[in-house]
Amino acid sequence: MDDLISDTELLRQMRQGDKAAFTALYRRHHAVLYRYAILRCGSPGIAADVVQDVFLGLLTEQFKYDALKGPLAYFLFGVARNLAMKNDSALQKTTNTTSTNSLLDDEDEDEVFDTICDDAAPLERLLHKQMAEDLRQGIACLAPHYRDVLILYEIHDMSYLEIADICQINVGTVRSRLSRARQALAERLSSHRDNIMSAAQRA
Amino acid sequence: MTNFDEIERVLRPHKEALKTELESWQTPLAVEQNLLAAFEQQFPKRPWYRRWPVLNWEFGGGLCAGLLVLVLLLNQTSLWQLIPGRELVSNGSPTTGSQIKSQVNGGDGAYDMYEDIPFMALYSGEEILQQDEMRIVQAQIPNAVLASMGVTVNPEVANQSAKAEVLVGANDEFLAVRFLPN
Repeated sequence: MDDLISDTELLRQMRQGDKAAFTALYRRHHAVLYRYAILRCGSPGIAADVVQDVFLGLLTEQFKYDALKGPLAYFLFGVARNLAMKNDSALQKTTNTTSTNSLLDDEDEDEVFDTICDDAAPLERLLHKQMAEDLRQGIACLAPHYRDVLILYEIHDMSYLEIADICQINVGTVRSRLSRARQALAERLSSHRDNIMSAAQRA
Repeated sequence: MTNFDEIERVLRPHKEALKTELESWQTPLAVEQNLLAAFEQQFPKRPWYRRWPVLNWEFGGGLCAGLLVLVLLLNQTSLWQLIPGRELVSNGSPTTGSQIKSQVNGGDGAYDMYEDIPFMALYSGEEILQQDEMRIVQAQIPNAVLASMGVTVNPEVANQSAKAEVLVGANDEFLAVRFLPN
């Protein structure tokens, strides 16, 4: 029944104090946001915090949604992305204080892989299939701005236009970042597979 | 590796595997609980009588307009009933107390016209209050009679008469009088 009510209507009811409307909104969007956040941030704990902060901001109107600017889902993805970027910055500062040699500017288009990937918390407990884990690790090693477009395109099946809207970049940038990210990821996965094969042959 | 198909061939199985895995990833329940607790703080529960302001403006406006119309209708009815002549003319039962029976020629229309003109007691107000039944009689009083009662009369109109209504008691005694415009 709740699926028949639009996000905008649920949001209006929520702002009038309707708890059921807020619950319906949360249950409609939390799963995709969490999956995005967990791939984007590489940690279930941080992903949960991101999702919580997204909806908390929506509740307290810290993040103001304008229905004229697009669907609520894209707005929520955009907020989640901004929160993830804040988290990146915090993590980057921590990394810089411990290792000044691993500097990486997120805006540097030449660096596809992020150096902090080795420090990211592993998700082995959650992932049982090796291939999924390989891809997850590959995504985690991408620089954040490549990671965003790749997750939204490959995992959430969004269009270039939708990604451009969420990430606040133009479609051309989406295309180029996606192309570079896919190529880098494919090369990483291929070399990883070759290493496994050669190790198996040696054994 | 620059060929799109070649890249897709490498990525596709990993992508499918990861999508399958993602289906099992669920947001921790604690997140929803925390958010609902935050919602409770944002919108604390109010007793039923304080929920009225939540009603939308359209409903509130309609309610107020309806109440206003109701009050006006009730007021009009009660004002109508307060007109003594109207009540007594339509009511054939004997009058008591301060009730007054109109005997004005021409019906209550003329009476209504002069209702704002007060009666002047000829003797005392207490005598009027003690009356069980009174009536109003319209009369033409010669100005000369008025002069004999002590009312100042212009000598130029001494031969004319004044239109008046007299409040007459049960024993036909004159209790009060009021003068009407000619």
